Amino acid sequence: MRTALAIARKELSIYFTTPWAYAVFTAMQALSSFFFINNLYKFQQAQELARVYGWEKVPQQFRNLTDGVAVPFWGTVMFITLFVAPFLSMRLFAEEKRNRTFELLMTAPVRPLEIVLGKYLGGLGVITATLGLTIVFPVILSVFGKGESGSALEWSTVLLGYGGLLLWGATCMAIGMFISMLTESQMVAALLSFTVLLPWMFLSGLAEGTEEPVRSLINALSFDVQLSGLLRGVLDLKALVFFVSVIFFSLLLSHRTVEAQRWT
Amino acid sequence: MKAANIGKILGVFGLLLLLSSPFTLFLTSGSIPIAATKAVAGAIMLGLYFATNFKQFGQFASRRSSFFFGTTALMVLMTLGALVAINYIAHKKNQRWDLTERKVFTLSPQTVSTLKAIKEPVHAIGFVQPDHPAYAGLQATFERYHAEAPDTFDYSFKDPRRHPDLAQRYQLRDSQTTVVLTRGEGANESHTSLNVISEQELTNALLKLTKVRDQTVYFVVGHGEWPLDRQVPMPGQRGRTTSLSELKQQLAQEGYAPRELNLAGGTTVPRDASLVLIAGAKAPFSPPEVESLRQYLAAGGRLLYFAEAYGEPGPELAKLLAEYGVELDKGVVADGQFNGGSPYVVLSLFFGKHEIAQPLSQRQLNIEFPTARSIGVLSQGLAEGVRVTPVLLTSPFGWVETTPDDKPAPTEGEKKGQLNLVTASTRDTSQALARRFDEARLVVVGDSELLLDSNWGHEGNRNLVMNALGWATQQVEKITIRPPDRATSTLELDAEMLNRIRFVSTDVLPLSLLGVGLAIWLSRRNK
Repeated sequence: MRTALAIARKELSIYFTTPWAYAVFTAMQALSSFFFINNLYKFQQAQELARVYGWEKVPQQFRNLTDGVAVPFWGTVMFITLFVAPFLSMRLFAEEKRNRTFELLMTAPVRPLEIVLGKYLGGLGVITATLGLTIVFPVILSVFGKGESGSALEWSTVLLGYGGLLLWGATCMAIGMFISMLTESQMVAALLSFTVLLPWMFLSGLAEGTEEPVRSLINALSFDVQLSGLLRGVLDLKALVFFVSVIFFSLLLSHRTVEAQRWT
Repeated sequence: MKAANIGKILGVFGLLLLLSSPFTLFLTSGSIPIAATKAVAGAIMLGLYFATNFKQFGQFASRRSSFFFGTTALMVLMTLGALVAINYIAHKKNQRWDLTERKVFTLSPQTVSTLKAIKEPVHAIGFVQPDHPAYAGLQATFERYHAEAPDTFDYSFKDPRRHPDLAQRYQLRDSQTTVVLTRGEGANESHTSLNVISEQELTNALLKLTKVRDQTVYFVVGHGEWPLDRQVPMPGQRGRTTSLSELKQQLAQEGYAPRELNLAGGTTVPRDASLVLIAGAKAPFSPPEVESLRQYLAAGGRLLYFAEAYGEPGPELAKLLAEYGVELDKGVVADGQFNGGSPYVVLSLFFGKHEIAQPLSQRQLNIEFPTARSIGVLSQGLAEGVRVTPVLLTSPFGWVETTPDDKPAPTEGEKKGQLNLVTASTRDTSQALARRFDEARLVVVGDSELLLDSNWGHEGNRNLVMNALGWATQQVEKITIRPPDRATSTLELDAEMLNRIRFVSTDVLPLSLLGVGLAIWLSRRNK
């Protein structure tokens, strides 16, 4: 495990000393800011409308900052992560392969499991940092908002939503890392990861045209359905099991692919 | 080209066909023959690939790496199987924790106790199309109920367009959001449906379904009432016959047992009566018959009286109705403005503040009375503890036409204005000897033709009758569940403050990160 942590540290130092990661951070921050401000304006307008015409004139969700701004905001961040994560995961193995440093890594006294775990922990660190940037927005809301119970936000819901996003980010990184293992080209890795994640994310759209029990099966496999409860403040065991299963399976595939390099 | 190469190409296409056949079956065409053809063709192509590349397999199997790939494939498949099993168990035995402060996604204690009390499995069918806005919310509600009572509450969704047989069986209409709750199977199946979908409505429907079994509804006969099964000529329509068979069928489906009851000869209302219904009596009731009904009501009985425009129940029954605060006006109700083509076919969308009227009012359902009598509400001569509430009224343009054979127009001496068409009376009977219920309930409806097969298809009318029946037979109070909501929180920002937040969020923060990135890039470049 110590070796895996050393690899993770090395990965993180590479991430944080290359401008590429900062370009991704900037894009994440700019996009999420844009959507946050948009949500904030909508909420503000709804509240003004309510003060003039009465609360029954505005939808229920606009009576509360958590429902009106934070929950939709996490939904948007989830969508942005779909675009950002492939750009962060693409270099994990593809870069090593292109630079021919992967052979060196394989000849070093490091087990494939440690390589995979180290690389993944590094990727996990950088996606956590990327998503961590967005926590500034709930903080802004809690500074300026007022709630009848004191706090403007329901922090339990906000933090669970944030946890859900991290789980989603961790899943994207695991899938992205496996795909990065399959190719030397970083762009191909990013594109393939995106091609896999995007339809998987919106699998529930396909469920609309189907009947039971196929519909339930498709919904159970869909990322957005599994995430919807977490983002609104409901922790479901089945959602946790689902995400952990996808991560575990992706790591297993990555491990076997790394191991396969010794046999070919 | 070599046979082995052709085999490889066929193998690739075969694999594609084989793997895509489930998509064809479930997502694209839905046709079993097409999907099966694809799968069979794919399997044949793959077979050709294996046949033409047999030698290579022999070489592959003898290589050292082949063992690794074999064990890897086995390990991956076994892991996948184990993960699928774990996910299946997690799905079936799911645990959920509502971390919201006010538990907004948790069922109320009333619902939880209702679900715990269910003895026989209940199945909920959501007749909602997947693209309907209510679909996701309803599914989440169903899931919560199922999670609370996994063995007794199950659910499914059916698209009414794809299952017209079911839609017909449960008498559903197009484009309405409907949930049907069913209990039992085959001939023993009973069901109830609801249109307003909320936890309160769903739990009340559940209560109704589980409590309604073995409730006997007695239809009084002997005074020219509409028959339950037997066909009789329709008034004013030569050659057409009618009966109450549709109502009877609906009652059976909802768990009521309809029976006929002749009160002649001093027969009393049986002890198992949940309700007594008089469907359009045309001849007078005798004093002993009325006495039976009087005793029944005084002991907390429930009576539904559907008046007939061209018939009189007689002075004795009129006296009993007067004790419960209602009096049938002579003549037929007419309305010059709110009618269904003729002033005597009265259309009503004017609801009183009564439980029976609430769901109709919420759904904006118009009620159509073919030939109605208006009901006067009395304030004197009432039995002790009686309260009368109007349920349904005509428009303000209604009047009682005392000479319906003449040209319909309000004349001097005729009652005018907003007239009662349906009333509901209650009487406290908690102190009565040998009481059936603590409260007697009487609903008087100004028209009996609503019940006929020919009019049963009118959704508003059917709902009115079934709501009245449900209210009258109600043995348990409906529960009220206030939907929980998050604590109100507000944001009072002036334009200047909002601009500042926008500036910091969209300008300062991203640019700072970009600046750090640039600094790192430049410093690495200059090394």
